Amino acid sequence: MPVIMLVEDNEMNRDMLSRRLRKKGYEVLLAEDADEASERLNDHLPDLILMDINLPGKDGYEITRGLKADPRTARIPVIALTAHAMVGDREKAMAAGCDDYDSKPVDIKRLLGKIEALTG
Amino acid sequence: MNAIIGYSEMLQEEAEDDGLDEYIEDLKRIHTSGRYLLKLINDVLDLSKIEAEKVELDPEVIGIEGLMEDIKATVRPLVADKDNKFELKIESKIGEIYVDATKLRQIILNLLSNAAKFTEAGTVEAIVSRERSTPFDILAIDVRDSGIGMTDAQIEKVFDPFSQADASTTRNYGGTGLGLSISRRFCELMGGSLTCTSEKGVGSTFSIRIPIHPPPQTSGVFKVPKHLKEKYEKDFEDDDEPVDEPPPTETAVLEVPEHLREPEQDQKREGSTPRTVLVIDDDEPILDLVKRMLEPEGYRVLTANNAEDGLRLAREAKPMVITLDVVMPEVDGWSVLKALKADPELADIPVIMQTIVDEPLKGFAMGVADYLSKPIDRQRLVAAVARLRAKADRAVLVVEDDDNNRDLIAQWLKGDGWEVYTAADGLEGLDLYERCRPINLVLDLAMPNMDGFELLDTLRKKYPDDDLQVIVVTAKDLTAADRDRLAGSVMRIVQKGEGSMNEVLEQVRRTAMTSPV
Repeated sequence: MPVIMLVEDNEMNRDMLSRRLRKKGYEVLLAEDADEASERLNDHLPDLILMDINLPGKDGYEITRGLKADPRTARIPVIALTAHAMVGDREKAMAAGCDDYDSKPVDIKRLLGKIEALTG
Repeated sequence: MNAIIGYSEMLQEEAEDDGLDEYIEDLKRIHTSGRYLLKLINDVLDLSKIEAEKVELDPEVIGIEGLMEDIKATVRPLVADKDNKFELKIESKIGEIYVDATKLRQIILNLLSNAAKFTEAGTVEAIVSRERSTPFDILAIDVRDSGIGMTDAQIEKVFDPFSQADASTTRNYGGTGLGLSISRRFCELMGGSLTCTSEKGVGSTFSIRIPIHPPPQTSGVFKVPKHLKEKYEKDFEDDDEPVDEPPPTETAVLEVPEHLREPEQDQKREGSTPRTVLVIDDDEPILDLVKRMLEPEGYRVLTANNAEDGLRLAREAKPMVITLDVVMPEVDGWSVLKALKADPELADIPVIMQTIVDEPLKGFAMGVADYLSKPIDRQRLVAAVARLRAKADRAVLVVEDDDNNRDLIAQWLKGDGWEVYTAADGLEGLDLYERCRPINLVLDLAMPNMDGFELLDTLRKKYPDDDLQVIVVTAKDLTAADRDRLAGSVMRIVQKGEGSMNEVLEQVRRTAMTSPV
């Protein structure tokens, strides 16, 4: 089963999403911010990254730009998660190098579909 | 909100799995209420964004018939919910239009879901037509229902935020009472209107009216507005490829023949600086190949076979576009990209990445403007460069001291998809020009601090190589001396007054179409 890394600073969101993904059989790595994410990435490269955009310090766009500029991580698909789906968020996410985009609260079925499409 | 919605949904799933049926209903209620609150919050955010003028239009060319069919499929279950019949009537052929499709879709869906909500065992119709008008034809979409209708007093308040026809409506029908306010603002933002007629017990009609802006130039294939088509009529007739089924609208879809693009423009804009493309690739034959692909299109092509030379040339020449090979020995393309983006003077230059990896790169990393895979396909390369050029050409600086006039011009241009910068006098204009370096300038002459003449003189002195397209808008009767002073850099002079707005718009479009490659 693919390994998913979830970068999310909100504890409850992290808990919810990780529980639901684990229930579906995914192995989930957790990171609260850019530093933790890069630490985790040193040990293990996931098959996909779910990236919250609103993070303290470096935001999700910035982290993604960094990942995509690093040959070691450039090929890992990133799905951006933003709070309120505003017109333009999608463009911003894509411009930052994200492979897909979804809005929170996540529709779990839709998100699973996107995860499968990118890891399958 | 996320937690309320998420955990209640999870609990619901778990309750279902564990057979705890008595909890399911309650959990569903928490979940539904959470969703409602979230919708309310999002609507309020949308509305305040509109109020703060933070919403921008993102127009694209779409077929309205296709959009309506798509909407029809979306609303069908909603309408069928209360035994309503849905009819889509397209009364006159609209064809392709240039509009913010996301917002238009949102407006129509909002009206249709309202209509469905307040109608039972009746009909909900969407009637689409084109109304003749100047300067632009109007796209007319009426959403009509045979529902509960409204009294005159209710109609008056129906577009006010937070007010539904009356307080009991919310109780009986749900909704946040903000949808119509948002829809109306969106229509106004597009230069149109949203109005309503209704009769208690008979039904309501909501009418969208939006001017149909002809699509502007894009690269390669573009729609030619009628007024420009006449100009090129001869060339189109010469084209031996017959245009299949031209849509019976004001615009014709045409592949612009190559012979039309180059010589025509070269004659017009003789002596102007061509746009520079910098090609960075370690493979000499590729450098040569790209050069031969782009030069016939009228670009000046600079080449560098290593990262160091590439960065140096980029700094010296400030090219319009850089194409960059990913796989290079020593310093690879990503590192060059990083260096480019880290330099404030170069960070804004669009970069096209080229690589041998045939798999489409996922996403556009680090501000990469486009991505092409090798082997290089001439057409794709030319189209990618042309697209970036068109984007650069879409910036317009409006310098005008009259607030009303400035806003009006800006709004018109924005509605047409231009990237608009505004300045209230020559000094401000100069400052903005230095920061954004737009191609198009709409300029008033009589202004405080620094007038239009002075601004033009300064720009010409400071940036002799910049190819500016200037349209002067003035109330002044120009003397021969004035005209002399403007000659050489001004493309067009528009007299202020009746219809001048149309002319400005048309001139901006026209200069963009004839600007040099």
